[in-house]
Amino acid sequence: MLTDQTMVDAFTSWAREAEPRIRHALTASFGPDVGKEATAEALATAWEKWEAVRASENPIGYVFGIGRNKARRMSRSRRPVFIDVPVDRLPHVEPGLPAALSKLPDRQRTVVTLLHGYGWTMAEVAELLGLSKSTIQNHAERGLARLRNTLGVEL
Amino acid sequence: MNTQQQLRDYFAYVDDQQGGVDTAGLVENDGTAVQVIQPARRRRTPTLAWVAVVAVVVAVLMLPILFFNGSESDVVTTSASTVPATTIPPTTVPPTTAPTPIEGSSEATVEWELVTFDGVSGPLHGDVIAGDGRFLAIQAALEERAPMSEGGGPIDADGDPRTILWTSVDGAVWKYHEIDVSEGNLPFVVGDIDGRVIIRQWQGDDGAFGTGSDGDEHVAYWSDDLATWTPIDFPVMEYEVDGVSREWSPWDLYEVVATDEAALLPGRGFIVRADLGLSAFELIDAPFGMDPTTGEPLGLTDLVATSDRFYASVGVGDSGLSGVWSSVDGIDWAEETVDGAPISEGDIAAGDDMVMALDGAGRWYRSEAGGPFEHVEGVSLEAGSEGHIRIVGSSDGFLLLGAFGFGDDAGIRSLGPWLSLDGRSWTWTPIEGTTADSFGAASIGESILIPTGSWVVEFDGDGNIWSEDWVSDGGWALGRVIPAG
Repeated sequence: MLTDQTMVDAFTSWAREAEPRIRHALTASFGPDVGKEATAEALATAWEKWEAVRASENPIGYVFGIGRNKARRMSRSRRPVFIDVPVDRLPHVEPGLPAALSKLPDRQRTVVTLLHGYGWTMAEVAELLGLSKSTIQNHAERGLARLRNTLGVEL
Repeated sequence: MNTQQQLRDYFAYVDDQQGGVDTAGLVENDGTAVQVIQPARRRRTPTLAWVAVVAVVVAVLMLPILFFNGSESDVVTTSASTVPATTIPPTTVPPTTAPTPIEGSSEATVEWELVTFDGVSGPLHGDVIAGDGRFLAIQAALEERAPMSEGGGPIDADGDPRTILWTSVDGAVWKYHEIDVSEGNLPFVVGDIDGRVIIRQWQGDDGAFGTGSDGDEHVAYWSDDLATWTPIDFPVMEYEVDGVSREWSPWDLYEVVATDEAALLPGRGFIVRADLGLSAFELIDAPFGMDPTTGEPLGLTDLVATSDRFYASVGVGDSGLSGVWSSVDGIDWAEETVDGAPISEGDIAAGDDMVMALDGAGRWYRSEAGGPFEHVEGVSLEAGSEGHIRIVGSSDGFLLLGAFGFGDDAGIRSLGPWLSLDGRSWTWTPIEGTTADSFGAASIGESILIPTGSWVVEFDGDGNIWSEDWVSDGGWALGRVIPAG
């Protein structure tokens, strides 16, 4: 049987590894501000429910679900807000990219961002969202096409 | 720089600016308490005004979502909702959420059964579409496929790289067709015109991702026999921007719609007219569509066709135009009006000679045989409700699917499927044993296919739509329409 400190250590170790993935997923869905805030609250809740999280087949997906619910409650706008593109640092990135991302349907934005923004594999995204890879592929293809369409045909 | 690279660089910057959550501070020293050390969550302090707003919103949400031919005398108030005064069928849909068939709408019933695609499990790729006298569906890639549950068949347990195109005339018996379109990703069916099936796929090095890279080739094929597939040779379209000649090809071909005379191919910022054989193409200078001087994308939100007319729903785009437009030839377009007023952008669906439009204010309109649109009385979407609705046309009527959400996730409500043979009166035909509804649907003849997979719309805490996309995980319901009498 684990001692309290052992549990704390196990949780802290897990949280350290899981945090970027949960934050990236919530950022993809809700934008950087809400995404990070929801990640913090989701991880706190994960500790409260650590036994259930640990026993889950998909702990990151489990905590992502917690974070998603929290993010929805704390979101003030219908669409997520992404930070502006600094022209001096990212001159090659379309200034309209953040706005175009926020206008994507939620699932398309999440999938496109995780696949192409954060470099997740399709299998990782599929596991997180509990969807098949072909469904992820559908979302990714449509989302990317819509993004290209919004940003302009010459990209 | 291509889109994917821009995304990578942008989110690397976001990551840098955002920073991570301090996981070491999540647990207090006693090992039990939890401390969120990130900036405190913004808490909303209720004010009288806020409480009043909430009260009004709650009151509005208690109103019925849809009235189907309902008059005031048809309506009774329950503790949770106002619904027509008839019995709500026992289904998995919460009883306060679904409108009830009322007098005059019992023109047909539907018997439902689960479609198994001859026992082959695994998700489908894209929609099941209603083609030319048949349904068509493509099944997912090899790693998605499971062994056949019974009866053996073309797929073995080790997987099979071949792509399956399923066809069915009645929705119950499905025929297997193997597609070999060489390298590339799983194709989508984008049209079935006069017996000619059109599919498209990405081809390129980024095949593992399935999304295509900017430099990848976007290829479409046609086949008349579903055995031999021929690439469609899309011509390069030329146009000018500020006096400079530009070229564009190929297109993001997501669908092909056709009358008995011609086909339209809406693409990325363009509409192209083609003959039914897809051998001649013509760039269309529609008033709401392609802008050859700027190359700006379309405001087109929906494009359908009856046997002799195209109908387009147009959102406010760079052209500044909005509403429902129609065209006999796909070249000359006219805006549709009712009593002199334009129909605002919304969903449209077409059958052989009927078209329905649901405008942005929740009003429904129908047009028959190319005649003027008329307002369908007694059918409306309650103003102020948040949701999304989809109507699908077929040769024998219309199918309505929708979902609405209020409050949190638990408030997602189902509105479908509803069936109408004439666009005027509607019958709710719940699918027993299913808990989900989807927007994607196909109907044909006296059969209907509806995905019964995942929830398709997500709502935030304020009842706003976060996604208008939909997902089918391979479960489909077949309904056979049984006309009354």
